[in-house]
Amino acid sequence: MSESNKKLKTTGDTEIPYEIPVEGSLGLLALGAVGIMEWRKVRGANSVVKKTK
Amino acid sequence: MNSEKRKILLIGWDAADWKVINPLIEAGEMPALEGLINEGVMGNLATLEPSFSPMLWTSIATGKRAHKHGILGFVEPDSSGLKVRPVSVVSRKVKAIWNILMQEGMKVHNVGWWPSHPAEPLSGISISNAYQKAQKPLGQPWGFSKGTVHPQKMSRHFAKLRVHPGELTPAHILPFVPRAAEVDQDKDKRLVSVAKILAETATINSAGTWILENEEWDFMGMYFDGIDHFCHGFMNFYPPKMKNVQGEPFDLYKEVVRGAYKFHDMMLERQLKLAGPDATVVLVSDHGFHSDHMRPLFLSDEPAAPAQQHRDYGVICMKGPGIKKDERIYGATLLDVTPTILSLFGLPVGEDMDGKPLEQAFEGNTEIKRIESWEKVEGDCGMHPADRLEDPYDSSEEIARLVELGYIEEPEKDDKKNVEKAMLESRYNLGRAYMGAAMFSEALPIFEELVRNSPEESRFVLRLASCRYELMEYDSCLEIIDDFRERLSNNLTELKVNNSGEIDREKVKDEELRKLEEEQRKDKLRLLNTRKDMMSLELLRARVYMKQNKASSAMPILRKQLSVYPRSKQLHLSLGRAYINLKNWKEARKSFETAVSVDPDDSSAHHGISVCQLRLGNYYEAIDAALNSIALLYHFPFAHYHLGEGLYHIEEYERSAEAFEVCLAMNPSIGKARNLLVEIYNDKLGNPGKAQFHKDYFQKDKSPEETDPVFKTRGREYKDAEHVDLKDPVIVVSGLPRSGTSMMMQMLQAGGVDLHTDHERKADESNPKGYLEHQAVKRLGRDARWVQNVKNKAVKIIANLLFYLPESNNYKVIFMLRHIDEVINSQQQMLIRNNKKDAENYPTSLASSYRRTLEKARGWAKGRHNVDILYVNYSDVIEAPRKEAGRVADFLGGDIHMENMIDAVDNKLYRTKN
Repeated sequence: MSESNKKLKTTGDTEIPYEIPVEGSLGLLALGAVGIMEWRKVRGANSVVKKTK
Repeated sequence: MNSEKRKILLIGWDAADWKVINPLIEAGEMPALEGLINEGVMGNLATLEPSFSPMLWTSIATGKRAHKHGILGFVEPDSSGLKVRPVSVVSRKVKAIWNILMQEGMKVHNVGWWPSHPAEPLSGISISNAYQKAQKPLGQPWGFSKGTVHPQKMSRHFAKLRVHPGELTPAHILPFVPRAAEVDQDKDKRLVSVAKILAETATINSAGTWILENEEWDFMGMYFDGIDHFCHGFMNFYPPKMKNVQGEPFDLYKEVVRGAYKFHDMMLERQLKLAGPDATVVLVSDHGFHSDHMRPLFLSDEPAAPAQQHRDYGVICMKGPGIKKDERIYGATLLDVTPTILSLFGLPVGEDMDGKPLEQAFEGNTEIKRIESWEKVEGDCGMHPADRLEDPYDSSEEIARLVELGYIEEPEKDDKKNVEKAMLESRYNLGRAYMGAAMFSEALPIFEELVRNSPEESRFVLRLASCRYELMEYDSCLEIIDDFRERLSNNLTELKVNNSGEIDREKVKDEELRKLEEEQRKDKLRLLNTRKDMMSLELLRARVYMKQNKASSAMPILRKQLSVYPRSKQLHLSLGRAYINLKNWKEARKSFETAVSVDPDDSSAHHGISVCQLRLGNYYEAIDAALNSIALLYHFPFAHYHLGEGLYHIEEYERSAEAFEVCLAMNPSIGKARNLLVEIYNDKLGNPGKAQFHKDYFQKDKSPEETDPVFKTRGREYKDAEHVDLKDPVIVVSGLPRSGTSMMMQMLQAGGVDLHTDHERKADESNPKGYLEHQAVKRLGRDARWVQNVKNKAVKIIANLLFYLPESNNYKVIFMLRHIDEVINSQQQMLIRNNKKDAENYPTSLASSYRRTLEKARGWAKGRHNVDILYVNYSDVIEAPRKEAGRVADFLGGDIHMENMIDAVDNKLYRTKN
């Protein structure tokens, strides 16, 4: 399980640390559009890494 | 209340129920909702009949009942009329709250409301309820139905924000089903169901949060059906374990419902953050969901049967500027949501709305403004144009979901049959909606028609009988019961025979065995349902007997049914009432106590105990029971009355007076409470001023305008609507008996209007110029066929009978008004002249009853497109006959001899004025 500790922009310009696991989480779904889009980015990046290995 | 900068976020959680929420809050597992409650108000939200979500959410959004808003079920015929489709927003006949606010220049958004497809062209973003449905497997193109997103140019953007069930991972599913790995997914498809509901819920949240974060907004509506869908699928696995549920699935799925609520709370936290601390937030559900021993063990075999799992009370909580903090509100219904939002914005509430603003939630005094109807306010409100041809979308996924949930049956291959079924169900739902609004005369012809066409359908027959009961037509009601009972008995005998056979498992093959077992299961269900129908029928019979003062005849019926259904709350409640009729207080108390043991949340059962304890002289116990009843249902005037009576007996006079005051505030016509208040204020509390105030309620020597608000003809109460041309109207002269109806008939006759009269009732001292009545009118409730032959003629029909007029005709109603005390005095004089009444015996309770009749008649006329009404004040006719005759002539149109009409007015008849 790989994880990312990216900072997630949650409201306006405020950035808060938010864990984005590759497999996603209910917390990210609950964050709404921002959480879903960031999760997809991490998921996509992870699949690229896997393919190139 | 400052409403200038207000922003309102309205969140809908279908089926959310305090009974599940409260333990979660206590365990600290719904912190966002807990915060919302602490910062604002919370309470129960009473649902409507029938509790079908598309109808209910439309009532929430419009403040109107289904017979006004036009959404009548889950499916409807499409624009071609040849197929059915999920119910759509183009069927909604009235403005929703977002349409009104848009018209007031606000930026409004709406996401997922049911129904909202095709998306309305709002000032902000509008996303329909077709948005979240995944129609193809992950990886295949996931298109959009046209009309899902407004503005259309944003469709591609919102398409990307959707979550597909195939994207979800164990990280999403395990919080709902911790032992998901143990599920045999080849046989058990419930994990797929969890993933679908979760993805759809997350999709709505995704679109909603994006709008909140990126768009300007004054009003935002978001609707989530996740809790309802999770509950329909998994409530039977919610602890405690039901006796008919097996251990393994219970252990696997017992966390799903709790998981659903906790996920909604996580989303709420985000939504509240995005809305900001100054936003007003209103969170509501359309109904509750049985989660305890009240969960039904089996559902009847009628369409939309899963609604039997719904509880009558949903939730409401609100916070924001001008809203009280950490308080409970009482008596709210889902019809109140839109009027409350309008009031929070400082906008007027439509008088044609059926709900009221929840003023008890507001800090300080809030002026409630009124408007006759928002429907008459012109301008772009974002509704689809009236001539819009619907854009049927690919509804197969939604239909499949509704089938899956059990709300509709599997569509038949024959489209014509599906359309007929949809029409039938919408008629049935309309009838039920009328029943829920206590409009029994309107419901009656619908159920008559349904029974005529489908005489074997128990649900239609039971509703028809209930309708007759409510209309106090007890003989007709018993006729229906007797007839149907015979048929049910035959069915029962047949089903018992079918259920008695055993399958010889050794002689049949596997495939055949499965078929036989399925048949056996269906037969068993039919047997259970037929028994239940029989119980409902017999319960109704017992209630009729009680109304006919034959409680002793009702007893054996109720006892017999109790031997079959010993835990039926309704049977115990009725038995308790029967014992009360017989003044057997101890047995009555026992019955109500059993009802409480079945359902501790039934306020009427607690109230029954209170009445019994009072009559047994157990005043403290009576007070406790009344308080229990009130805690469950605050708007229960008789519970307050009996609380007051208990307190009076233990000499707690101040508290007693308070209880009576609350009782009268809810129902001013409970004279017993007023009499006791007069006594308490005079004799116990030394407050003659307050005693006088209540005495004045009965005072008759004030001017009509002061004492009787419904008497005003020029004020708001009886303002004539704009008159309309109606083709071949029946001209109806109506009003209370002795309010001048005969005089108006004489005026019309003199003016040249044809009358429908049989001259059977002769002129007498009370009416020297004749009554001009027709005997058929008295039987209008039973036979209204003659009415269609009275077109363009005038007929006299008293106010109480107006409600029986068939919908199929047009009516021009001249409604006579006279001060109620004058009416009663005149009736008294007439009865004395006929040696039927003692002059000293003044019927005080009649006045309030007449006021109710007038209100009801006003409501009847107001809600009908085929009725045009003119209010005429009796005293105005006497004092200014020319002017009033002119009004009548204008109203009726055509050639009317004005001078003859004026000559017909005999002011000598105005002799009973005070």
